[in-house]
Amino acid sequence: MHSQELIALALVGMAVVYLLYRALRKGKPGCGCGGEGCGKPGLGKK
Amino acid sequence: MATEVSETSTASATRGMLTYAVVGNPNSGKTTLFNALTGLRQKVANYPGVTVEKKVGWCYSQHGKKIQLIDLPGTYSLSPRSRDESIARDVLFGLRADTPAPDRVICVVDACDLQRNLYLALQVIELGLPTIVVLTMMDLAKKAGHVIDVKALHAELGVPVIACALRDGVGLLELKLAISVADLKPVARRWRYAEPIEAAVAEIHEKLETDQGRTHAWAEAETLLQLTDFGKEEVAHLDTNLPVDRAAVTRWQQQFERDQFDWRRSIVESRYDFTGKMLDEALHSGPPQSKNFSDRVDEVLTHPVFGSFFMAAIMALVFYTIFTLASYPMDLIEGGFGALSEWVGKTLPEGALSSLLVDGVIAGVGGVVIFLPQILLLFFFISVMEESGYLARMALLLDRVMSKVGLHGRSFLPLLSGYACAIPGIMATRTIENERGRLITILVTPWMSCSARLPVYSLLIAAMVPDSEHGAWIKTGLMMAMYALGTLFVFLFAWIFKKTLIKGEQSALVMELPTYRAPMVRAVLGVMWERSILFLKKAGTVILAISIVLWFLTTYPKPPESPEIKADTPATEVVANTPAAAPAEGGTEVASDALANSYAGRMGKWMEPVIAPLGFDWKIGIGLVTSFAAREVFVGTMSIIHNVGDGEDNEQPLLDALRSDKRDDGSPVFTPLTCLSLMVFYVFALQCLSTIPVTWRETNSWKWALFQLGYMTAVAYGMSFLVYQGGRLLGFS
Repeated sequence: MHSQELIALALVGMAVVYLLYRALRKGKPGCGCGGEGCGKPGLGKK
Repeated sequence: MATEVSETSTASATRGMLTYAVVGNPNSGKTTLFNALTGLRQKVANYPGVTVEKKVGWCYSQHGKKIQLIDLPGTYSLSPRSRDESIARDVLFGLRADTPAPDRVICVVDACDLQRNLYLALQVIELGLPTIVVLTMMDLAKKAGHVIDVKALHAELGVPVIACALRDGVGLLELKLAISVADLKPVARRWRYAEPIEAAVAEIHEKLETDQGRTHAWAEAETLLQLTDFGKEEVAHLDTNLPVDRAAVTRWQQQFERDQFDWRRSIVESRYDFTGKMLDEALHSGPPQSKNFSDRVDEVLTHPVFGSFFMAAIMALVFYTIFTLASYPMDLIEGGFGALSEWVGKTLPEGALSSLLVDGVIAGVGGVVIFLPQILLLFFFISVMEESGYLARMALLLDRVMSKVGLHGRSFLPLLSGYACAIPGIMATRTIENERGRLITILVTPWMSCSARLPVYSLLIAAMVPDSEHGAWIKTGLMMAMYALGTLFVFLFAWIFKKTLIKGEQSALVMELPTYRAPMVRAVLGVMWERSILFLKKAGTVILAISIVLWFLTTYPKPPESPEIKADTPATEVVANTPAAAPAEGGTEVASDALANSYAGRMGKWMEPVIAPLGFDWKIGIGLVTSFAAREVFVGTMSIIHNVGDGEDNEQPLLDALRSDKRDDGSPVFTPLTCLSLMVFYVFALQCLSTIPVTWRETNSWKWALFQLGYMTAVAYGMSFLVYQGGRLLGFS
């Protein structure tokens, strides 16, 4: 297989592993907005 | 200054870093103070197990020592009425394993409402921790005609009292000096409770002091809290950590009941009696003021008719600005990614890696990042409205409607949080005391169009509406319509649930309207910075990973190559077996066939019969599937798919690609009707999979989580079907 293709497929594999890790990790549900605190702009009690 | 000392300070000089807890009533200026002291030196996380936001920051004393500050959720007293208030109590009492007890406390008191705010201050002082009372909004108190004798307050309370007007930086230096004091001592309680209460406290607290090694003051404070809270059914679910002798508390409560002594009321009254006497000395109000600025403005802004018009006008302005102002930086970002794509394409030799980077990563991530300016503008406006105090007025206006459909006025803030993201919105329902109202709010919150939908709406509206003289207003109207549609169905289904599945009594809304004030630029910019970091972090992680995987799915398997020609093959056979050369314009067709042959294409084709009645084709189907990870990935998906489908021209703008995309029969895919149907689908579909486990956890029931997924999917399909097929029946295309 061409070396470029190998590198590309390796990156695909890493991406799959990362997505599986995010889907299966325990603990916090994983806010869809990226940050753990999901920084809502001060909405709620201050 | 002479202060009574009940015992030696609990501040640990041997522990590494001095820790202050910052506590105060909601809207007292607590977070403003926190931000003023810490600046950007903050970290936001969640308290494990209860998912309330935990904000920790750092600052430096005048001697250069690092000080940690914990910004606790706003609370009116240490008797919690909601989950986040119970966090404040538990942290102050040192009952959380994940958060060591603070060494000292900064108690923030709104100078415009001393009587109510000082109640919490008394409870905090009772804890026996070194405490500093900070009076905020002194400027507003002065304007209201209040003259506060800070020295008298200090003399009565026995703790340092710092007067601040943080918006102008007044008092910040004094506060920094106060928190730097090395030997700040706690003070003894200077107020007494009724004799029966004192007798109960004297007996019960002793056991805590001797058996559990608690300090005298802590034990007394804990006992008082238990006497007040233990046995109250409505807060029983919040009382999980306090270790007091329950049998003794129950015995004394029963004794008080036999004696017909309202001990809970007595404890509260004792504290208010003390603050009342204290304020007789320390607070001098001027002659009754004529209606202040806030009251005069509220006559209009909270008027049922004028207020609603004003609110609609504000929202129209917000969305119009998002469409017009954001286009300039968006064009810059688009140009930047285009240049990057071109450079990579020229630099790397042609091959899989080059294709991955150009058609996968840059197309996918770039397609989403381009919407950053719009999201920043959205949060700019939300933050300004919140900082100015207008958001609370919106809650009041909407409560009139919300209460009729079974939503609590307190549902407003969680619902409004849904405009950013449904997940913190659902978590924020913990402030709703009424469990029925809380459940309804959780079930409907995802229909508040979150910021992830904004790129999808923007793309489809742009595809629908060509640039013209009034194009920006038409786009604004369509955007508002999508937000309004989601909000309307929130109310509609809340009403349906109230009448059917989730019946019950509704509690009244008691809400505080903060004084109008100029938004703090620093706070607004802080929010925008925080959101941009979150957005870019998401783009660099989840969206990047999905773009890479999607590139693979749209590229493999590759179409079969021509068979090898053997040296001894007769010429006639070679001619017969050699495929005819593709015509010049068939390059795009070949690429499109390759896409259809790919894993993604096959998946899209498989689901196409299900989504065809909605006007969607298999390419849109691929976008719908990838949106389950994050809605805005739809945009990146379209970028990737249409770059592939459009052959070598990787720089063709996505809009042009969408407008020129054709179905198998030659008809355009992204007609206005299809775009509208797709937007309606995105309004209603519960696509963000992360929402499901959050609902599961917050309702403690997988059935409600599945119910939410089911009913939202059904409504999304049904409404989209209605729009598309109904539009076709009416002659639209």
